[in-house]
Amino acid sequence: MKRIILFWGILCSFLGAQAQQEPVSAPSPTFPRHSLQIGSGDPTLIRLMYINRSGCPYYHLIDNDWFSPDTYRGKKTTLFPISLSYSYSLKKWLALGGMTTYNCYFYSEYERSTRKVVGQFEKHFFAFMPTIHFTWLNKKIVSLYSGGALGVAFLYTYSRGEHLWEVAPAFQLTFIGIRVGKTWYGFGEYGVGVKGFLATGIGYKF
Amino acid sequence: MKKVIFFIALLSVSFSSCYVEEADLAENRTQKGKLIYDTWSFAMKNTVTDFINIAFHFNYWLEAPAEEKNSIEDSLFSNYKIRKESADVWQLLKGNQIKYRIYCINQSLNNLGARWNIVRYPDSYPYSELPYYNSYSFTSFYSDTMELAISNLTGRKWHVWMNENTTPKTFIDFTFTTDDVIMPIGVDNENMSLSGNGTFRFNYLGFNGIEEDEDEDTKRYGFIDFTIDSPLYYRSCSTLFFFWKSGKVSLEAYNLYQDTLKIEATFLFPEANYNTIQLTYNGVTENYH
Repeated sequence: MKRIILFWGILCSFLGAQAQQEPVSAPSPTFPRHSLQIGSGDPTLIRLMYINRSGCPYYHLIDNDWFSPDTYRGKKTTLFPISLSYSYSLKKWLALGGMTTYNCYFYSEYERSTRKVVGQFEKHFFAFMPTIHFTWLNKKIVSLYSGGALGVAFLYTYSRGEHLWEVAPAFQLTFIGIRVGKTWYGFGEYGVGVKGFLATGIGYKF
Repeated sequence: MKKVIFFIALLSVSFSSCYVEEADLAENRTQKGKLIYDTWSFAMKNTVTDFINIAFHFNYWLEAPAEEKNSIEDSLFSNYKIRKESADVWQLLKGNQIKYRIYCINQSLNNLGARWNIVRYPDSYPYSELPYYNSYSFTSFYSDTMELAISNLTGRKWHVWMNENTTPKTFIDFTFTTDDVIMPIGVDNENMSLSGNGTFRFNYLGFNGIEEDEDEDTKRYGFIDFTIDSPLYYRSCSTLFFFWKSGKVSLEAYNLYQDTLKIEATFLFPEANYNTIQLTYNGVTENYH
């Protein structure tokens, strides 16, 4: 993790230095500086890092005494993480912004002998992260970029009438992303973090 | 271009659905009843093996001709040495330690009116030898010196009883009956039937299987009261359990917090190859083969 942060730090310094080499007298290009996008990724990493980490308890006869509830877990449903982000382009190749990601995971718990629902397990995940993006190929309708985000995640767990809040670090590294379109665009990303390994969605530049 | 955006948006929305993992297997509704039945069956097997059969085995050895005694000792008492203490008292030694002392009053158990007492002594560390089954150790009869009494009621009917001074009291009160003329070698015999009742005590060991302190142990005791409603006929056994070919038993598991579970087990023997245990728990009846 530290190595990844270090890598991004070096990259930022490098690109920052590149930016400083641009002629000061060059006129500022006019281009849409604001960008809003919504997308969705795969839940693999969220499940591994956050949801399964603190466990998803349910009673099972084998682990309990005779008088404990004997239950079994119903279908586990995980929403694909939804991300909403805003960015502001300082330069054509550099944008800063923020992102929020939401995911949830839930199942019902059934009493074995009656097959009735006796409990509900829910876990909700919210992440808030500042973001940075570097656009390294900028064509008329296609652009390629990389980026990163580091922030905080809040996890809310509800199980058998008990509520639990947890706080954990959250991150997203986008190794390569592609945008296709002008004002309205679609995007696809490959990376690692709370958005998953693969993410896709739509955005709007203004 | 708009078509591309529309296509990506559509892809995105469809991708934003849910990821679903299958539910756990619901298994049998009477699974908990089966677990308690198995625990009772396990306790029965241990009680019969370590207490009651000692009497029948020893009687078989006692009545055997002198030239057969060594081979019987090797097969039925391979872990013990048999020593005579006095005219009616015998010892079974495990190493140098007396494990059983057998009081053969009236000599043969075959004789009407014969009454024997068998005293079993625990190891130096009794908890180390407690039989253990699925989170519970069987604590009745094993942690203290225990005395079993057996008497011949009618020639081919034996009354067996044993009790432990605990609260609630744990005990067995059995009657074994056979129509055979030949004296059985053990009660695990197809021609024997068993009736009676009793209470077994168990200690819940928790997830890690570790005994907690004594006060905590007491709170975690579980008990199984049982009444044999219809005589049980032995068919076979495994290392853990007896299998009965007919009969019916009612079980009531409880703890010191007034939690109670009731189970009824009926034994059916519809075919030669398998037994059926019909369990009723929480109003549901299911068969186990």
